[in-house]
Amino acid sequence: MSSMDIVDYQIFGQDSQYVEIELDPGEAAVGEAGAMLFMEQDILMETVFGDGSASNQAKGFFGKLMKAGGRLVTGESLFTTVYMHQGRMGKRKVAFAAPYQGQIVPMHLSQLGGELICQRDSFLCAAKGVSLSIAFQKKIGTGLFGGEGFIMQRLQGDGLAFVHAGGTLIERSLRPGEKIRVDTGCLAALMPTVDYDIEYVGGLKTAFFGGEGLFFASLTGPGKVWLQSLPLSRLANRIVRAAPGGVGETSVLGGLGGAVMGGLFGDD
Amino acid sequence: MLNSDTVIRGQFFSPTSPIQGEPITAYSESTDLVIAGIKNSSELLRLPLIALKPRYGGFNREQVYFDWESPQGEVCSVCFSAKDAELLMAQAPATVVQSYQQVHHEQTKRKRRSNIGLGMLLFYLGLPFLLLLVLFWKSHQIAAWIADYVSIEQEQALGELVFASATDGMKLRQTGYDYEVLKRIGERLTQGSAYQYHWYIADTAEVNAFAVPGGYVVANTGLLKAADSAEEVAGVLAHEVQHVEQRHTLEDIIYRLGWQTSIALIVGDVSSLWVTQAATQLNSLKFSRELEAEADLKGLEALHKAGIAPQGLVSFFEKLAKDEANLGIPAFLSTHPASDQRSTNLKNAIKQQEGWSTIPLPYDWEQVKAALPAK
Repeated sequence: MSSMDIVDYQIFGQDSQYVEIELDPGEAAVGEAGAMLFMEQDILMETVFGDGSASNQAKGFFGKLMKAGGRLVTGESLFTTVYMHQGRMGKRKVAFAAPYQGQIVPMHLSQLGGELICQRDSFLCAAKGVSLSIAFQKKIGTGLFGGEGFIMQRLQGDGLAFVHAGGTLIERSLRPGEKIRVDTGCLAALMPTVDYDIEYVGGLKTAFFGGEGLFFASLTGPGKVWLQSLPLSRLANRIVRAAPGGVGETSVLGGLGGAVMGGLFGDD
Repeated sequence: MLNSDTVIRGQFFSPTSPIQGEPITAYSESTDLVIAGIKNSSELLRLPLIALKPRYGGFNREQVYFDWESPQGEVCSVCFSAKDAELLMAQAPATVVQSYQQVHHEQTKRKRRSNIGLGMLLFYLGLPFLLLLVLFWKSHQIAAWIADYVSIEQEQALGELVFASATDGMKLRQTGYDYEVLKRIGERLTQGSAYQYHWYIADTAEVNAFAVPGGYVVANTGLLKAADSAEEVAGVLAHEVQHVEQRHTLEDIIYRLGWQTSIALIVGDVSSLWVTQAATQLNSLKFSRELEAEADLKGLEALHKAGIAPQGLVSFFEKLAKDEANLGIPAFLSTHPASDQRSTNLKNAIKQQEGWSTIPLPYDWEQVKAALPAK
């Protein structure tokens, strides 16, 4: 039933993880450029324009260009690297490392309805055949204040994909109509069935002194969502603030301005 | 029984279904929504439409969810694409789909608002680029349009300033036989002009002549020396005078100032003293190829009107073209269209003008040359 390569994997590490993928002869995995940690003999590394998925090959040159452009917008590079086991026999391993402290989550796209939306830049690696594209946030309020910006990443296919996010990842299954409110920026991934909106924190006092900003992200089921406990932007902000002479995000206005710009360009 | 022409596919969510939902088909029958194809159940699920709570949901609110509570108190939901939901609801009596209509209406309104907002945001972000594009596309027209608002008096006042800075360090004179000849040729060319012309000779070997807004025309002795007849000088003067008549310099100044201002506005670096930069660039007095070509053609018209043989202009360019090949490009020509091309264009233009009656210029050019200072 599947045109995807089925891969075995193992995730190592606690806070700084890497994933080891085992390939049978002829099988391939695609990795985000720069994410590869090591690979064994017989594995051939080939860089392709776009994401190496079948849907990519079907379209003409212009289609390829558009898709690759989409990758650029979501913070990935124009090229992906395909790691293929070219040997005759035996299993060979290739490993991909997370770029910062956090967790790697395996996503079985076939069990998730074939589609997943995640935050920009969170794709790590996948079985060959998983396609990557833009999920454009059309709700202006969510785009501006939802913490993930207007552009997110859409993974499609029925294979296995590995997504990386900061801190500890929390997986939540939401029943139909069940709603959770999340600090903006902490959303790592969601199924397309989940409604992603913003909600005013309520009350001027809370808005300005509650420390959570003006809006929550509100997520309504059905579907699964993945939350990250420590978005990279927050970590970076703390580091900047702690650095000698560093100026952190201190004023209320600065926070608001940051939210707007972050919303536009995706600060996570 | 399934109504065959309206089979609509959707996703069904219940506590027992997988997280991504299970595929079902649905149709509406009188006041009920009928769902078929639920796993582990051979029966059709029949729901009264009036009891369903509709809402738009999904990542971009492109699906419609109908939520309800099962008899056991579990929340279930069925989801359709917005289009399919509309089809389904269109078949049901209006009284039972009121809540859907309301949600649908609100969503349409919301979407429109969001689109307007998004459009405005994009417009705002793209505005500097849009301005730059318009500027790039219509820059000369805009400059010409602004130049129309500058009166001749203002232009002359500006011209004085530019003249002072452009001729700084030059040896200018308004005496001598060569000056008299130059002035007389110039006056013949500028008869009936709105500008008050001032003619100057600069004692420089460089083959050059230039005009400044408001009617200041300077010819180098190098130019007079290089010319073989009064008609050639008349041709060059006719060309330079057109830069004044057509307000090329003025437009050029406005053009440069406009560009620098807009770049400063877009880049945000206003501190880079653009005013002084613009002022220093005025000295160069260079024009675009289009303006040069225009000056050529209008100069030809002026020669026609003044009854001066136009061949001088052509032959002078041809001479310069030869120099261009031999000695590298003279300053006079650096931004000018290739001389070869220009003389061809001019010849064509001369051919088109009919009945060219000429009165020869009554000056012995050898005598003028002899009157030039020795160096």
